[in-house]
Amino acid sequence: MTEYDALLDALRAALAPPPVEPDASEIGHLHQALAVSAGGGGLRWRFARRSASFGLVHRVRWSAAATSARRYALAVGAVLLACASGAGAAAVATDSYLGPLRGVAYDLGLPVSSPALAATRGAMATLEQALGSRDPAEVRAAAQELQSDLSGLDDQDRQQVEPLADRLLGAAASFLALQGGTQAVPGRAAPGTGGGSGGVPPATAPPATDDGTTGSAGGDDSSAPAGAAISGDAGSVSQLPAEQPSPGGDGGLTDGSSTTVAGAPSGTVASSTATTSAPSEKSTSTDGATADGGDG
Amino acid sequence: MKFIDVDGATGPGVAVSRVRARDPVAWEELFRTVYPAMLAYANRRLPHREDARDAVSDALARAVAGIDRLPDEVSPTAWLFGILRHVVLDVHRRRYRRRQRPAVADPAEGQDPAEDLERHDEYDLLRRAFRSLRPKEQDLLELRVVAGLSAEEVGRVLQMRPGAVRMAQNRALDRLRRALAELDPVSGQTGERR
Repeated sequence: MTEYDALLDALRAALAPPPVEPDASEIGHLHQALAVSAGGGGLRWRFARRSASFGLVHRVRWSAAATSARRYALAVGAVLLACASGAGAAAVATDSYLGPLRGVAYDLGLPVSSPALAATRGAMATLEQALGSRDPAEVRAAAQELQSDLSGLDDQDRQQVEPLADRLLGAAASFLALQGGTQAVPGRAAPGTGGGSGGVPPATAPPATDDGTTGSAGGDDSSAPAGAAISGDAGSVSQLPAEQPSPGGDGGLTDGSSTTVAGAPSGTVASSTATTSAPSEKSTSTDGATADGGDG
Repeated sequence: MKFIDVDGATGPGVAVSRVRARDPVAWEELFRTVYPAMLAYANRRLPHREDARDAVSDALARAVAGIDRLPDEVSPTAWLFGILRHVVLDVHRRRYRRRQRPAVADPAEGQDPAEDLERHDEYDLLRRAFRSLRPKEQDLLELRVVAGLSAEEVGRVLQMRPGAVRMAQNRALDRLRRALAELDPVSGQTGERR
């Protein structure tokens, strides 16, 4: 026996472990781990031995610390994902995306309105508020903005907002006509007037003169002078004078042609407009009826 | 200590195959066989006995979960001690982060008081000298003499070549002898305590 061997033997005796046996709980955990492993669950056997000592709470915790950290991270990730997806779904459902995000979402094909349509709806809301405030300048500005937005819509989007937009624009034209001709909506038809399309197709309200004849006052009616106000009932078409009439009488900011206005007050408005803003351009309906001859 | 050696009735390789097949009886037998040495190993490196038991149980659970990765040339005992060593190191890393200094206990202490006293008298110097060794030297010697692993198996656990294990073992024994001589100049000359 070498010196090393003797020392190893002595060390073996000194370090010899006491004859201990695993207790029942440890054997039970072994079988539990075997069952989990055999089941293919891949779950880490977590040590859960209980003890009366306070310190064991801390000591048990370390054995499950890695698992707890992973679970915590997964839980946080799941919550964030749920919030993000929920917010996205809510934004899609309520169509409440902000401008830049809406553009991205629209480009991605999400079921959201186009940015142009959203802007038009915003302009309609603005015009509605302006009408409520009864501020002519505000109404005129909002109406101009709405007209501009309408002109940028494609056919599908325009069909969605056209009825309400027409009503709002008609109301704006009526309001501005009552306030004074100089504040009329440029290029916008007053109630009961006919004329060309000022960005909105005139088909929504068949123009009719005050004598009951249906005016063929479409946008192709080039005979109707721009800026003319044609009296009539709600179905008639009139052309409000422009705030700054162009030499050709085309006071509109768009194409200067008249616009159909549905549901607007009739007659009076047209008369007022005709007499205050464009007396020289005595309006005639497309069928030749005079504007002043309306029922107002 | 080696599990494959104690299964003489059916041959050395059969027990390993049963362990690989997650045979509960084989695993329980393995557990009961290696448990004292594993607990002693963990007890010497962890401050509390509950920590040591946790570490042994955790190592066993890891071994069960990863038994499919047991190399053919490695015994389950060496496999278990290798895992246990990593578990203990993990505990020390966590404790280092928490700035907790482990108060290493001796696994032989805390049993029967009379027996403790006798063991204390008999092996106290040798254990104290052993504790003065470097941690890796303690690992190596304990794996050799307590776990009963061969130089090759110790090399696998410590990621050393077998030759390097033997050389490191001799150096560790030299240091142990010198430490004994410093603690007890008379008996430490030979290293014999019995």
